[in-house]
Amino acid sequence: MEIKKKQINVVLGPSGSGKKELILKELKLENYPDLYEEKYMDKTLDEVLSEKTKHKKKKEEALQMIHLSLDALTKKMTEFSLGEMKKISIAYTLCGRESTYVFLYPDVGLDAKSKNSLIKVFRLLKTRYHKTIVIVSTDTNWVHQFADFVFVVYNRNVVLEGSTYDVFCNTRNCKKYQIEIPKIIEFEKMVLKKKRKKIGYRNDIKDLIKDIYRHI
Amino acid sequence: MKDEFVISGNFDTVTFSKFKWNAFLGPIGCGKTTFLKKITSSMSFDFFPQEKVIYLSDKESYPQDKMMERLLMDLDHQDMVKEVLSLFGVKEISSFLDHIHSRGMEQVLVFLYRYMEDPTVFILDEALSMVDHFHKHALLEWLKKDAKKKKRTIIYVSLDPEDLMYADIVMLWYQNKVFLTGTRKKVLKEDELFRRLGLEMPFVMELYHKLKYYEVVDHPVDTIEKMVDELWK
Repeated sequence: MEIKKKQINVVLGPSGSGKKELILKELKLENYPDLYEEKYMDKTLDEVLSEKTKHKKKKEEALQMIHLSLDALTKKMTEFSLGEMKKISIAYTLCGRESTYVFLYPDVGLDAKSKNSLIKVFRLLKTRYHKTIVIVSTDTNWVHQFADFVFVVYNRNVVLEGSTYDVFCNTRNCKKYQIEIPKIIEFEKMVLKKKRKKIGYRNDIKDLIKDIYRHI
Repeated sequence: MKDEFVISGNFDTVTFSKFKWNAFLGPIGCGKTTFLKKITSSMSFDFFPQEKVIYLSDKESYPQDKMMERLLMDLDHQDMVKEVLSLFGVKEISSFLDHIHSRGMEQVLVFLYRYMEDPTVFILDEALSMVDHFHKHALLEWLKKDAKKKKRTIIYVSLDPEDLMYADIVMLWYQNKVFLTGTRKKVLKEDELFRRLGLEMPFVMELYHKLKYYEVVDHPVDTIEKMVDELWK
């Protein structure tokens, strides 16, 4: 498994396929912090983020990036909703100064607006700060919008890798390795199968609309 | 009405449809989980008289050996368990433990463990959020059929817009209140409202709303195949 430097790498695979273990092993990380652990519950967010950075400005920047109010710093960890906790896990990662940022299932528990903001954060980390990003997710519809490189893990092995186009357009392999095909590709394949029309590859629904209009 | 549960207290009145799939949707922190925890706590009997209510959250967990014991020993539910496990490529119940290496598979085990208790009202609050989408949709399809056959009421909370396609009734939450409720068809007409609340529509509905401005579709459809047929008649 060769993580692409300064790119957005996404790791996909069915539940229990060993995605997380493989990434931790590859990046030589001992474990991934779980902010739901009992030891964090009595602490304020400020205290928790202090594990990663002592700089107030860095903490504030991380919170701003994921659209959490600065007042959150003084709140106890028990006061946050599930979705807010997910955002906090992301802020916690962002407070570090690593060259590679790892996000495990960052989309789970987030609404569309937050997921779209997160895409902007990943792009910013990549383009402005030249960071390597590794994301483990199960939501192919979401990652299809921004991933540069995709790894598919099955039975603890990387069985597919390539650009989003290479991986997701190979629908036979996606089915074989139990990866959900992004809806936008499913649509394009359905048009080709039923109507014998090639409308092309898109990862944005707005572009797809233009293609549809051109082909009807 | 006997086909409804009308829940009211020191919060807004919420009406669930009995024997239907009631989906909750709303931005994070809008109060869905708080409401569900409130009505399913020790007072649940007041809200759902004569019903067996089971609330399952994404954090639910029990000792794995205890859950496996029930899966293996409860002979009345063996066929059901085998049917569900086959969706995940597991042939024997006894070998299921070998497949549980992740939170997603653990959520499947917890789901089965609680569903075997035959709830009449089954509440899933992001309870399958870590299951990969390929298998989650297979499981939801199975649940939809099984709940209908056994006349069970499902209350389902998820932020995945594609999960809305299983719903009979959709409730949109905003700032601790039900903002809009109705059949799936009715609620999914409100694309502007979804956008304002920061929520996503299922792909095929989003496509419909965008295409209707070009006057190339005149009515919503619920599958990609139907949409393709509609566009290229």
